[in-house]
Amino acid sequence: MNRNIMERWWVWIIPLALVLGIFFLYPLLNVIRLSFSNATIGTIEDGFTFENYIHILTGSGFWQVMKVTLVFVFASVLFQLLLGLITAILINKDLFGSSLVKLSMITAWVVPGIITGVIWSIMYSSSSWGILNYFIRLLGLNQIPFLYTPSWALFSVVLANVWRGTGFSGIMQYAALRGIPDQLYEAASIDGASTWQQFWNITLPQLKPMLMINTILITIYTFNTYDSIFALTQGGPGNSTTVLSLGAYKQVFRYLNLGRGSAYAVIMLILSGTFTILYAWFMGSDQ
Amino acid sequence: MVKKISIYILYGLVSIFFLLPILWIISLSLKTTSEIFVFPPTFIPEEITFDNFFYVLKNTTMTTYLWNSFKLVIYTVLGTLLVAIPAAYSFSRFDFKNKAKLLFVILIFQMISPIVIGIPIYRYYSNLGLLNNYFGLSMVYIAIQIPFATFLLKGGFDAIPKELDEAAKIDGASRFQLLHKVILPVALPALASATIFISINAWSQFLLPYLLLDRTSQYPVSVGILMTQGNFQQISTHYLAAASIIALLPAIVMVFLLQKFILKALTAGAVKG
Repeated sequence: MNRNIMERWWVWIIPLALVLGIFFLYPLLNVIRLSFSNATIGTIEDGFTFENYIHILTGSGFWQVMKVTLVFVFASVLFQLLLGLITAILINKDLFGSSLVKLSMITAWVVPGIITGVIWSIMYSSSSWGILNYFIRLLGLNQIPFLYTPSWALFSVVLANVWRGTGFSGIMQYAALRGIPDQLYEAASIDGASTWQQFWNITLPQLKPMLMINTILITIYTFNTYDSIFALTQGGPGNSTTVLSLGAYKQVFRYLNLGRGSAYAVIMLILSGTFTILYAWFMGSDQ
Repeated sequence: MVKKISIYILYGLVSIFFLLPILWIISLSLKTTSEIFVFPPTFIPEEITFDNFFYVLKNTTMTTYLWNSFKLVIYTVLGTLLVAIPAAYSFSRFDFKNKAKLLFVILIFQMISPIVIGIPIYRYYSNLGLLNNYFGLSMVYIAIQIPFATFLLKGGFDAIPKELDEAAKIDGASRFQLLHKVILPVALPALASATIFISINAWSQFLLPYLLLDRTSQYPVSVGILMTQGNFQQISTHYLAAASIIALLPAIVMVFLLQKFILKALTAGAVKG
């Protein structure tokens, strides 16, 4: 009897279903319900209302946050992809020293987000330990207030995020590069194709599926990033670096507005859901 | 030759981009208080001192934070593996309808930001009295890690030939024995990769402990360092640098020791789908 039941596939999945159900799915459903309520931290009963969404979608605060999120995600993803591609091509040459590059990429990638923020806030400082401003002064330029004006602050959180995320993107693309058969290049060289032509006609098309997957994955990860920003600027100055996740956090834990924060979270959920469906679609068409 | 040299130069530039921030923090952490303020700054400290590290370890709660992070990582690794191993076994060795779809549904959870579930969990943990409780916190850590761990382990189990199972089955082994005696010993690399990933992620978690804990004595390193940053303010960057290095060290040591596994796991995870 005992043995029979172990022959069923679902028995082995019960623990997973329980943990995900209680600690993931249930909160998820709850956040959707809360987003239609006027709950605050501390109140027990909540009514049903569309007020949160109406307030969010008609106010300017939310759209400012959306704009920041868009710039943050787009710039981070673009540079992580480009830099990742360049480093992947470089280490694929496999010269002496390529393992040092790989090691440095992974090292940056395992730095926890919060510590990334702390490290870069030291780098960005305008005091004697702010090494970036030292270099800038060496070039004869004025100091840059990296974290103190809205546009520089946004630039700074993107740079820190690119630093941390490029390792992942680069290693992924490196793996894809290694998967391209050498014969393709050999045949192309025999036909007299230049390095540049080989890159356009062999490397990029072969890399395309991975670039797509990578783009979507990085987009999702970047979209969910908040800890490095939290340590660098706390979303400021003003709201100039407040991305959606930080916006949700602020609504709930600073303004104690549970309903409105939940609505932010649901909007995040819808957006990352869209990316995930795209991801599934590409994975599906890939097979 | 020119091409080779230019590649070397690019290698150098890329490595500097990735390593400079960390090397700079190491440099700061080894400086004396007065050298911190020297301008132009020195890259290699003129007088190397470990006092900053001693100061941080002695005068802050850094060691407590480290110990807390360490505990949370252990709970998370054990809990996640306990749940993910049987699930991965099922996905790898049983045939059932909609298997690919179900696996994908599980993976979707991976794409959701912890803040989304953090908000409601904060609310019912405060009703249940589970705030400031490592069991409650670890369960959320575990829930977050399960999807990817299951996915990674399934990949590892799939790579083990089914003939091994068949042979053991003929000898009368139960399903549990199959998993325990046949698959797990051979799947050690996959288990190692999963452990590394879970550990790195658990070590980095910030928002959940920040929301669900409010006692300094319970904070993990990620939250603790933020408090340290606040407490030290401007005048003691060398201490903050030392604290950052201490907080980073476990992750960096892991990278150096297990580079091969990490590379493999990173690429296996995304390429296979």
